[in-house]
Amino acid sequence: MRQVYKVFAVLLSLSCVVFATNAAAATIRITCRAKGQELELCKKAVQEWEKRTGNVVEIIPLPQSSSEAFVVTQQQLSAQTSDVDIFQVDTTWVSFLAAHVVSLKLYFSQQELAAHFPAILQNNTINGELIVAPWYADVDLLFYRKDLLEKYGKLPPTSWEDLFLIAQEIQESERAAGNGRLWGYVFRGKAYEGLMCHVVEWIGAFGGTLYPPDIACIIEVFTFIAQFIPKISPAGTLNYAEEDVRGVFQSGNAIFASNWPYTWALTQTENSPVKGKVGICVLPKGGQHGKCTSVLGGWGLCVSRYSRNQEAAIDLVRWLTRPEEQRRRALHASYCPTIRLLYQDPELLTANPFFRQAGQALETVILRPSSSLGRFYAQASASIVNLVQRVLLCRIAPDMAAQRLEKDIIGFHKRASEMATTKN
Amino acid sequence: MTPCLFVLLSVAAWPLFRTFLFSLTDAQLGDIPHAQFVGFANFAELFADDNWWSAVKNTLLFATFSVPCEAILGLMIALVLHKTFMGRGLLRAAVLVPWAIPTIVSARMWSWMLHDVYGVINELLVWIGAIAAPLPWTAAPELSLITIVLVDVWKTTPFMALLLLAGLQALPQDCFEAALVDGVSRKRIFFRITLPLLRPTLIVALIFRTLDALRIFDLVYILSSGDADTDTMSVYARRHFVDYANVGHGSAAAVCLFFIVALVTVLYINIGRHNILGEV
Repeated sequence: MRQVYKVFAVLLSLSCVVFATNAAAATIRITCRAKGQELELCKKAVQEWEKRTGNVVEIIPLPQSSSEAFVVTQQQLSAQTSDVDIFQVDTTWVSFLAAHVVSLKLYFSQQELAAHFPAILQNNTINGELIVAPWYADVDLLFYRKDLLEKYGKLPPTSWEDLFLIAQEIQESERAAGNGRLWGYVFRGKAYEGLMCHVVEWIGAFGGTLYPPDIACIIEVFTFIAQFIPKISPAGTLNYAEEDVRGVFQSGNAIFASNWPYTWALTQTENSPVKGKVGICVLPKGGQHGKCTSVLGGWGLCVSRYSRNQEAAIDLVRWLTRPEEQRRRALHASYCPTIRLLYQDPELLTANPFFRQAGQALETVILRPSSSLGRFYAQASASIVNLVQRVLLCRIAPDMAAQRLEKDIIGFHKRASEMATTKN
Repeated sequence: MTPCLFVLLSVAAWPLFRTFLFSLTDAQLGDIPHAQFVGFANFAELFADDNWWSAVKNTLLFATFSVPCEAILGLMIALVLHKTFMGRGLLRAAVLVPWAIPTIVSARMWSWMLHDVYGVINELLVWIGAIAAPLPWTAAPELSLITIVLVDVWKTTPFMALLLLAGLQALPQDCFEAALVDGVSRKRIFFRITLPLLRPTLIVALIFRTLDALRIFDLVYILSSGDADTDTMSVYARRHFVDYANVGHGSAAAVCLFFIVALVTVLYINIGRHNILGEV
């Protein structure tokens, strides 16, 4: 028994030491995504801040998948624990976060805020309060095989109809010439948020909106995309997430691919079969009244309302999201800054030639309807992507599918607004 | 007895009871304290959901196809491993490899090998001429269930083989020796002696595997395209519980899953008891 007391005594004195050091310098806990080079970048920037301020930072890696990361974040914040001070958060989580985080509006000057792309700022703000500090943007771009387009005398497509015809023509000729596994167009077709982004983009490109649902336009889009498989896209694309799309494109098996900007840096590595053969442009427009449309992705940082070190945490958020840090991330790892001016930086443009297009796309970027659907966004998104998979497989007629989509999305919106009124 | 009961109550009965309670409320993952009692509304919603019934159907289909395949293959492997030959120890260890790899890892490995554009399986099948063009094994709804059954058979046959091998080794040797002395054919020995004697072990193994198969989650979660049409009951429950943060609905699905598994267990045990007693 005496042994046990001894152990307790040792533990007690140890914890005193720990608490004593805590009092001197704050310990900040931050979640950082562990995808690609992100965690390394996060560590490096955090270490600089530690040296500068004398505070201690613990990094908690987040799961790669956005939906799994959301589960972790949601659990932490719902439990109202002070365990984590800063969360790295995705674009569509803002309406959930609003109840759990500190408004950052007063900690950034008007000038600093105005430097960001308006769409990002709009997405991250609720009722005039800045919920999430913008950190980097993700925007879908069209990657194409420059060499193949040149070989067949084609220009990069400006309309989806163009893309379809070019893809079909090159695919047929190349296959006849023995390149049997070449496909025209690959995209993120797995039933997850990545497909949802494409759906919003396709509808936007044809001049409509997903919410409020523009049924005529949605029928037009569904009729168009129902031709993809198997004419220009493999049936397997229905199980592709971003890395599969990159894999197929990078191994030289696709003419067009729509994916996030990080694809660029990796297709240009030494052992990439398509090195030097890749072109990038903004996503094409469709139909009679279409316009080029990309959907906003990307991640930001927010400070938990339950944090015991809010001042220090806010300072770290400011440090990580400041222009110099965003610039460094862009230079070394092709992460798209949220600050407009950086897209005119010559050094960044040399390192990432696609920044011109990305900056252009971010000007006209549209948002997923996460704020209109509130808590039901995840469920609405899942039911939409399921429906779209059925459209792509031609298992449901486009007009039937569009009607069901309209009914579903209006139903979810109704439930979300009912929920909001009962809460108030 | 009391400590045992206490452990059982705290680790099994309490969570089960809580899940049942949640299934009667409108609890949200982010806001459990404010849950309100809604009676059987979640169950009514669940039974009206086509996706739930397709999940039940998928799970039952999966169990019906995977378990017999695993039993037959497992028995064949066990019979081979029961013989004495060079390198038997090594082979016995090697057979266990698929079972030893964590399912998440092996499922990810299979999803790469089954990839429709750069997967090695399509490459091989096209090369030997079994298929004309690469197949989207995991993306096409009509193929993905078959694929999941095949991967599950690959993974759990070793488990079946191991259980049956243990059963084989425990069999009394005298009746085999007597049969050999009398010159009974090998086929007859298998069907008249080995199989009846092995029946109790076989039934225990089948119960284990069926219950496991009914709560299949990881393979489907990794391999399928996330389409609600390919959900199994566990995947469906998780989707509602976690992704949609709808604890009430997810719990209702979990409670139904529990009752379905319980029902199958009771059926199996009754059949098993009858059979085992019949042998004595």
